Amino acid sequence: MAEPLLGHLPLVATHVPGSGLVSVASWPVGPAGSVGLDLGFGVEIDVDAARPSCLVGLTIELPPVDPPGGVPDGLRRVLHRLLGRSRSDDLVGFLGESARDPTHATSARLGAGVHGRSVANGDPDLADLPGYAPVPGVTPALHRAAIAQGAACAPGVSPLVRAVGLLEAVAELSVGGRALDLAGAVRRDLRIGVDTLLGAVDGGLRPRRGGEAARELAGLLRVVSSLTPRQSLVAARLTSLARELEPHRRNRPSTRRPTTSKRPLAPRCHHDRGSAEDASSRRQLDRDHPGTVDVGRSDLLRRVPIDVGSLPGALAEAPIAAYRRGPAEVVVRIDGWAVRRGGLWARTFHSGDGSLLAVAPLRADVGDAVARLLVPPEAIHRLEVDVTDRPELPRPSPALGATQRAIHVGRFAAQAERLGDVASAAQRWRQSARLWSQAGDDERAEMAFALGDRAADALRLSARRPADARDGPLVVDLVDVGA
Amino acid sequence: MIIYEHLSPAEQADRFLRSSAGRALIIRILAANRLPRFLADDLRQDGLRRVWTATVAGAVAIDNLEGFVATVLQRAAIDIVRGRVRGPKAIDWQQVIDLDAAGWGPPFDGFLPLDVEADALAGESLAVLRRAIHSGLAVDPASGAAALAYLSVAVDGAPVPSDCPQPVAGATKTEAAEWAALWYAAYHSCFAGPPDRRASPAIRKRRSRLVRRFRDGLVLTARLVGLEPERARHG
Repeated sequence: MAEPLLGHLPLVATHVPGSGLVSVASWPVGPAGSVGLDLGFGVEIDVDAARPSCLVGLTIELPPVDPPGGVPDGLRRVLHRLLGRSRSDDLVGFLGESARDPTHATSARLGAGVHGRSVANGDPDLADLPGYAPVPGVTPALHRAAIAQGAACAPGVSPLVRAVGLLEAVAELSVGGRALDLAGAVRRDLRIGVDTLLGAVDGGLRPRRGGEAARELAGLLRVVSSLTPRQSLVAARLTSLARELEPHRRNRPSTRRPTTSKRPLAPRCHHDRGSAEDASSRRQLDRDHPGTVDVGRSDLLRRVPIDVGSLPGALAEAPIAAYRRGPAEVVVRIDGWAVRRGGLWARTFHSGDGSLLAVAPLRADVGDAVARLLVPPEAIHRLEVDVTDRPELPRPSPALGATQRAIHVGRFAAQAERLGDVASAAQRWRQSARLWSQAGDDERAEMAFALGDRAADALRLSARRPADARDGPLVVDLVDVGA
Repeated sequence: MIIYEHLSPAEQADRFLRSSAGRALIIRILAANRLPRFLADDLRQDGLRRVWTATVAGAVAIDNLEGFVATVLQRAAIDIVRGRVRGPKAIDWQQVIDLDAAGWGPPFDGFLPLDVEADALAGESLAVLRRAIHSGLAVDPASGAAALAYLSVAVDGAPVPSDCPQPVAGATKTEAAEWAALWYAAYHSCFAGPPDRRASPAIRKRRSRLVRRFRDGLVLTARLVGLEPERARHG
């Protein structure tokens, strides 16, 4: 019998009455948060972003079926492949019970028969789960797909990173996820990934030729090309691009899972940023170009505060500035972010009551990302600005803002570990730990400090990565840092 | 059990989440996701926004509000654990959205209730309307951006900068505000470009569609928060 794709960790299923949603908890999520992967039939898995072989949990959205309590065959098959026969049988039994009696909150440990009990007074009993340490669990194809997809969907990434992340996930799932019926999702992500990639390449974005990122991307493109219809225009373009990136390795199959040489972590997405010369010419263009927004030195006096506590992902380190321009306009500019602006919105809030006054998408202004916002004149001196990929969300509390930043910094640390940059990993983990402390979560702060110490130990021993970090870099990691 | 049947689903959800049962549910979901208790208010607000979006903009029928609230809270908690990074489905949605498509919701012919003196919408009503537009950004952020810019011009009297396209002489103040709204929502493709160029019929048609789109959304939102068009019209 095939091994379960999610390993053998203990699981506890919980159903909240009336919700149609069953959560299956496994591993307490670590300081880099989790990344999700939609497996169809209402099933999503979450793996730990720092130790992706560790399953954090499953979320199962029960479809309405008649009679209540039935579990569709497709969902049964997915659960069987993910969990193995014994635990999936237990879970299917639990799902049926939950649907038939939706009035009581219950939980059940899977794998030793279903023993529902009330959880009205607290969370499921996970106390006997092992501590935060790596264990064999989620199959590599699934967890690497999840991490690649998470990198692709993070706010503030370039179209090239977005495309490569999606395509890498597609490549992993098309091979390692064969046991699951993922054709629909794979086709969707393949289409989005290819469209985004070709758009990015046509726009001049591509990894440095001959570099490690280019070599690995060429291999990935050959795999992706084999997933598109033979002799199609798309397949031809992908193959041609692979040849351009790595001209001396024409038809050799990809041999992924490389180990990287030790090297300093390059600035994130340095290929997206303009040089000093570019910046100078940009200022000239700002003056000459009729559509651009000229922000001069006097604007320093008209700065609008940025709410840095709520900036997600890479935006937390972006050079964002906001200025009043005239009696009712605010200009928000992120230097050098023209190619990374996709899906980002600038928002202005009243600093008194916190209400949203204006929102606008960031547009390209030569090399920068710029948004112009029109606000009520009487509020022009009482504004705060933020930038987000989720304009509909309310501004987070300071604790939630710190939590989000701690998670994102943790992801950068995990990426640095995969890339073999233990110095950067140690620094990032400690930064994440401080943010978790600010957020008031001492447990995760300790986890992050421990991971930082392990990375520092590896640095002292001149190791490429901490002893328990098994995963090498993803192609999307290499492209992201411009390797 | 929720018994406030005369209230909207979002209002019922708000009352429920302020009750002891609602607070217990929030704490339970935070604990199940290993999140600290002091994120309770963030989770509640996010849950309410999701209920509002689903019931108003998404037109979801809810049989069991308490269960539905539990579902959205669990989704919101998972979202926090994921660092609020969405999956590719959301990215796909963002890419395929057709900004030129007809507006969502029923069309509202005849008048725009916000052709008003500033005092008709001053104070709390305007703040409530802006909050509702904020929640609706999940559905159509570009139209929401235009609606907020429109309010700044039409209600708060924000002057429109000279580099923003202006309609020809003789146009109404409402038209000028609509143009500014589209410009600040970054719908630059519905303007002709340099001032000396006349807009082609295709551009004018596009502009007209986009105005209608954000106006419909704004009127619908105004009605949902209880602003009656008749009260807001000139006497």
